[in-house]
Amino acid sequence: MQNSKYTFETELEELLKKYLGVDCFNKINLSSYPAKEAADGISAKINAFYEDQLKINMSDCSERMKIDRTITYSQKKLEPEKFQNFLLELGKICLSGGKLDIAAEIFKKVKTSSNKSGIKAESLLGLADVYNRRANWSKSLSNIAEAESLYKKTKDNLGVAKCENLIGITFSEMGDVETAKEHFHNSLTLIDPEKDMEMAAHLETNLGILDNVQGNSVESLIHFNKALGIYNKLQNRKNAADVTHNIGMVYLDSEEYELAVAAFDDGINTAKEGGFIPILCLLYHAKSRALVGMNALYYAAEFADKALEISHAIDDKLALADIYKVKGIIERQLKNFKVAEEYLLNSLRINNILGNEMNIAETSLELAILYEHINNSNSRKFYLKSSLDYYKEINASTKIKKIEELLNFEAA
Amino acid sequence: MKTNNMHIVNDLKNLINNYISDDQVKEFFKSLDDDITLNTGKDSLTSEPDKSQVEYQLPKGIKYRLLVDRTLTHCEKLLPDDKYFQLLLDLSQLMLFAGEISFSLELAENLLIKLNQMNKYEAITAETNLMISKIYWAQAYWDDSLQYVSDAMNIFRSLESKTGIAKCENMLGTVYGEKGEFEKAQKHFVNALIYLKEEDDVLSHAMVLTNLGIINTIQGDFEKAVWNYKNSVERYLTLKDTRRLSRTYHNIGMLYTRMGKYDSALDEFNKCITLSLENDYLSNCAVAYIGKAFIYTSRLKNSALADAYTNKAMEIAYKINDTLSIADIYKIKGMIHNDLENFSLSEEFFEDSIRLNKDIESKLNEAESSAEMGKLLHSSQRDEEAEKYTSVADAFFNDLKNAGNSTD
Repeated sequence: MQNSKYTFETELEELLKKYLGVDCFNKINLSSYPAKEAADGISAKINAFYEDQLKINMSDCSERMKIDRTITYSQKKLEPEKFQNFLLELGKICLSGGKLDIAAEIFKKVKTSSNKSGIKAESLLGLADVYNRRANWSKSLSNIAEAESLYKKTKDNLGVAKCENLIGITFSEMGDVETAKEHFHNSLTLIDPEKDMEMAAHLETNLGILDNVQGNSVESLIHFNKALGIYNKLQNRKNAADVTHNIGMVYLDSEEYELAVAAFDDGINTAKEGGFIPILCLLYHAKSRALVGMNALYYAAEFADKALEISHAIDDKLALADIYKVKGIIERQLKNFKVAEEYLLNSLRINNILGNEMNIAETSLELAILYEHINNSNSRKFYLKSSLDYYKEINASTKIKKIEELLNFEAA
Repeated sequence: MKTNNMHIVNDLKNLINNYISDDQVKEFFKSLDDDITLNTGKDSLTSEPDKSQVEYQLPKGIKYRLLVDRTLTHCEKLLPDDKYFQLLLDLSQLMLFAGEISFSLELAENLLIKLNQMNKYEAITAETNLMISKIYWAQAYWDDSLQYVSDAMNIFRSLESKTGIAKCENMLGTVYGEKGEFEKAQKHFVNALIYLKEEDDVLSHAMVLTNLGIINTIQGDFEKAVWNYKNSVERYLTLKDTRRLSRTYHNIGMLYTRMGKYDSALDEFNKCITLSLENDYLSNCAVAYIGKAFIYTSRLKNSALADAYTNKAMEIAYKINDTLSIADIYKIKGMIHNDLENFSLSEEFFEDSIRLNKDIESKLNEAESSAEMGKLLHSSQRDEEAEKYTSVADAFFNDLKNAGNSTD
């Protein structure tokens, strides 16, 4: 039997020859990257702690069978309204485990079967969350709008607050910091933080993320620690792992790599124990970035590859584009400039499609640094300026200062 | 190390405990924990094809993704717009065949956004809508599929593209066929053939013939079905279209199964699987595995091997989010456990199959599973309960029979 990679590569080659012509095709090298081979070499030697961190069982079809059996069983045993509430909670469990297809199927089932505004709105919000995780912003926003109108009709303030929070998350993921902040603040005004503790913690986390993007690390940590306290009190381990990841990100951006790695390891531990795959993906990716900062490039490559594998499996396109960026940085550090450029351009192309201004700016900055290494001053200047424009727009003082220094350095 | 599987099951148990607290739940929890996989043992996998088919390892999608992303980044700079868009569409199709459904959809949706922004390239915009329709169809999302095929149809009509309209008619027929609305489906296929009459589109013609073969098989018109498949196979062979050829071998297997020619059916399923495994056409493998499992359980009474095939089919169907196949797998698992006199588990699987088929509005499959459930309940002297299911099945099959007669 033919090897699958061989078959696929052959088909892809045929397709490319058809489009590019044989001569042009021959100039493209689709064979493995050197750094990947080097990273594979280190795999055997990777230390036991890292190896254990990277060992996960991601996908198992027996899960689907158990979920189906449970749904059928509950449908028989529960009253319709109770069954719909059960499904909503089950949908959320599937979301936490990164099972977007089945989560969507469950939320759609509730949406079509329920006549109660509150339940229908919750299912729409669940669907919006699925679309959001798949970076399908327009479908996410239209589902939120439908849910919000239902919540408003029934004067359900907590429901409206949830919608405002998810709108904020969507804008934040598109890199529109100010609009995101506005929606998070709208959400805050609609809840009673003493009563709606979980929602309050979500908002603290999201505001913390925006503060970190804008370079306000102290304020950011205050938000995160507040959120972590609430999640721990509520024994919400999934969100606690998420906040731990965000705390690590603050240290990472401040170049305090050892503190960052300690936070990421803590998060990995919790996420692995709980099977919180989407968060685990972010943590592997973040740890990879920290290891780059510590110049442990081959270990960084191992974590980036694992994160890439998961991001593809759970269809997290934003993470995937960001992981390509890290892989580009690793290759640049290894002086494989051609491969680095390709990864960074992959990241830029996908972020352009997703319309994520912040990630475009970050990748542009990394490309500019690469072009400095290979003395391509025009491209370097182009990417520095496009990156600077975004950071000025969101008023991120630390980044602005860094880029202006780089630009001035050239001018001097 | 704990597996993620355990986390989900534990979460499920905690959740259900919040809703149901009686003793029955304990029994259900126990059954969820039971390993219900039948042990095939080395002896039952005596044939080499069975062994290699059941032990097939699914390819890792990330390898595809890395290659496709690199390809696109290169080609975006090198190709003119129209060629680059066509490449994106071809890659989306390639990923669909490879079972990378989300990635296939991502490529097609991104392309459609670009094309809509440019408001140019109408033909490729229509093709992209049709592609998205196909991706949704593969996941049993009928409403989404119908919406995109309608958008494609409007554009093809404005372009007066007969082959384009024929492709849309074929897609419409396919969706209605999956829903069990065979009269509607047949009308669309016949329309497609009319549009293709003066067109030189061998592939579309072959595809419509294959689909008519499926409808004729279901309606019991075996002679016509044989003629349809013979003609479509000839065309696929001429075109060297291995994917569709292997799918048609599966369809011929289904025809022989309906005709009671089980050895011939197994030969056709094996032909489909051999070609599909060689090329990693996951969706074909899943349906042909189900076809084999049905024969192994219902005719050859080899429960362990049938179970092994349903498990492998489940692995693939789960990966490619093929809910229709998942519901069919549950039906066969129900039959397997019925043969083994695990009546409670058998009933549960039939219920799973019926529920899923109801959710995705697949009337034929719902009727088939209901018929099996009816038989199980009758054999357990639960005639009143059985009646509920047999009447659903009888009503559907009577309608089908009447529709078949009126078509003649």
